Amino acid sequence: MTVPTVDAATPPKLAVENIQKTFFKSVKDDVVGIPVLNGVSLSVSQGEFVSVIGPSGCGKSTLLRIIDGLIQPEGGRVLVDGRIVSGPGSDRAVVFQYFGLYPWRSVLRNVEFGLELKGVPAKERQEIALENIAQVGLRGFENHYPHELSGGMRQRVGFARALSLDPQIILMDEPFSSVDEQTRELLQEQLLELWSATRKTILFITHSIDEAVYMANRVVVMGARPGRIVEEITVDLPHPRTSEVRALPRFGEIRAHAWEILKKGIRESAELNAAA
Amino acid sequence: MTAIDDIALQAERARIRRTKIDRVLIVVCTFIGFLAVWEIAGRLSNPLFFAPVSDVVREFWLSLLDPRGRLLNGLVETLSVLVPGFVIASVLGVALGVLMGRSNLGFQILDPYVTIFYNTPRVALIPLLLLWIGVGDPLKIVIVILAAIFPVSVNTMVGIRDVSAQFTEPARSMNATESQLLRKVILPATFPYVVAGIKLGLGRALTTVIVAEFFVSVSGLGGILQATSSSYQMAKMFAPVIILAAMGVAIDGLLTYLERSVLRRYRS
Ligand SMILES: Nc1ncnc2c1ncn2[C@@H]1O[C@H](COP(=O)(O)OP(=O)(O)OP(=O)(O)O)[C@@H](O)[C@H]1O
Ligand SMILES: [Mg+2]
Repeated sequence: MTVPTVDAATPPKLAVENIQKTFFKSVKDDVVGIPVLNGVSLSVSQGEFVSVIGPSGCGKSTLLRIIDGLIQPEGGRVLVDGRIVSGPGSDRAVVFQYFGLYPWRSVLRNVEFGLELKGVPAKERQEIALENIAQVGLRGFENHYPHELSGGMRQRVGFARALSLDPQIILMDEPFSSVDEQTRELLQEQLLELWSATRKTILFITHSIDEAVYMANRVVVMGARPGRIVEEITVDLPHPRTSEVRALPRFGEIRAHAWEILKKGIRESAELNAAA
Repeated sequence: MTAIDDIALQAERARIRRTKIDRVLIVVCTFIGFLAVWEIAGRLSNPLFFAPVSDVVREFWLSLLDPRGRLLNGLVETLSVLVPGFVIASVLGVALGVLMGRSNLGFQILDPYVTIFYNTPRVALIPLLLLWIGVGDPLKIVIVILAAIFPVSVNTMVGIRDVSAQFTEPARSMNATESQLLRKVILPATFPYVVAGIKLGLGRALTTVIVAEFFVSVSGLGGILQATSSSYQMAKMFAPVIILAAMGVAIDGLLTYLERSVLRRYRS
């Protein structure tokens, strides 16, 4: 759901403006507010691949949910193509860390799910789903159930489901964190190929600095609670990203820089927690 | 495959075959022993209180062969209140569970009564209902409903309140309407709880309908039990017991099969 606003001078694909988010928790007979995001602003252009890293608990997933429209911020706003986001919409799709598959549905029916909700006719949605299942390399597994698949395969089902909705922006929350090292590299490669073929706008949360730098045009580093953006690092590495890119000295430099900033954030959070 | 592997494989196959045969032998031998003890005890004891297994089997067989016999009619009569009563109880139970699981107001209003009914022995209501509804099928159907509805609704409610955000969040992210969320996510996610409630409810319904028939029926399975035991027809009395045991085992087997085939997917 998006509402048009007045200013529309070629706005960025995704604009996050001064987001404030507080969670409320009941303590004994009272309620206390825990600020989680404090003035987060971010601008992403069409076709950009932006990684987000930050210490655990700094509010990365919360930010992603706000961008998707799953939760509302206390302050600030999210705009897609200059239109204010007031809830989930088909211009955005999420790939969840926990896969978010339905165990009672086969791979095919899981991938069809979003289309089914939109009321796409059965034949058409099956066609789209089959295409995307093949796209993520799961041809032959259409009739399997999630419990019969490995973590990496489940993640690809979640990805195929997001792709089936043909969103303009894909929001990914640590999508590869629960798969083994080899699978992770394979999935990274597939995602980059898909990205360069489709030129979708991607916001990619990860715990891995290496992955953040390797995948993105830009790495956004968040600081500890209440979460805010401490630095944005432009990744001036050549495309396509291949394993040779990892061997470039520039890759090492950027990674070291990102690590320095992240460490500062983690240290600050430790101090904050010690003070509290 | 090497020769050593092959020998080991053959040995393993033989071992598995032997354990299988052993298991069957144990079951068969103990069952024969059990029948023998029953037969001897039956012949030695007063025929007013016990019957040898050969008599029981003969009576059972004769009543099964008789198409207008009491036993089959009794079975039909019992099923004709058990099945509709149970279907109504399941549908209403799920609806009640959804109401209580989805709406806080519904929960606050209904929970005290459901808790009271859930924990009241159903048979205690039979004399009262007899007074209100009178003897007949409606009474028995109402009793079946009362017996089965609360386990179904309580389980459904607990299941719905337990549905993980990991199921609802993706659907909401894909713009599911409230009705789609309920039909396509919450209800399927609650299915294992509903099956557990149905299992519990069926057991209670079966017990309660038999007890109700003790009171009000001469022809249902419970009625036959009551009549044959009060006229000391021991061999005849065992027939409905065998049928009830078979029904119980069949229901349990069916639901266990359901758990193995469908509910297996829910784990992991
Ligand atoms: N629904 C909620 N209610 C209350 N507090 C919440 C809720 N969701 C998140 N939080 C809190 O907000 C903070 C940020 O959570 P969030 O999941 O966004 O962090 P994160 O950066 O994604 O962490 P991680 O790297 O571990 O995934 C945490 O302290 C968390 O406990
Ligand atoms: Mg997170």
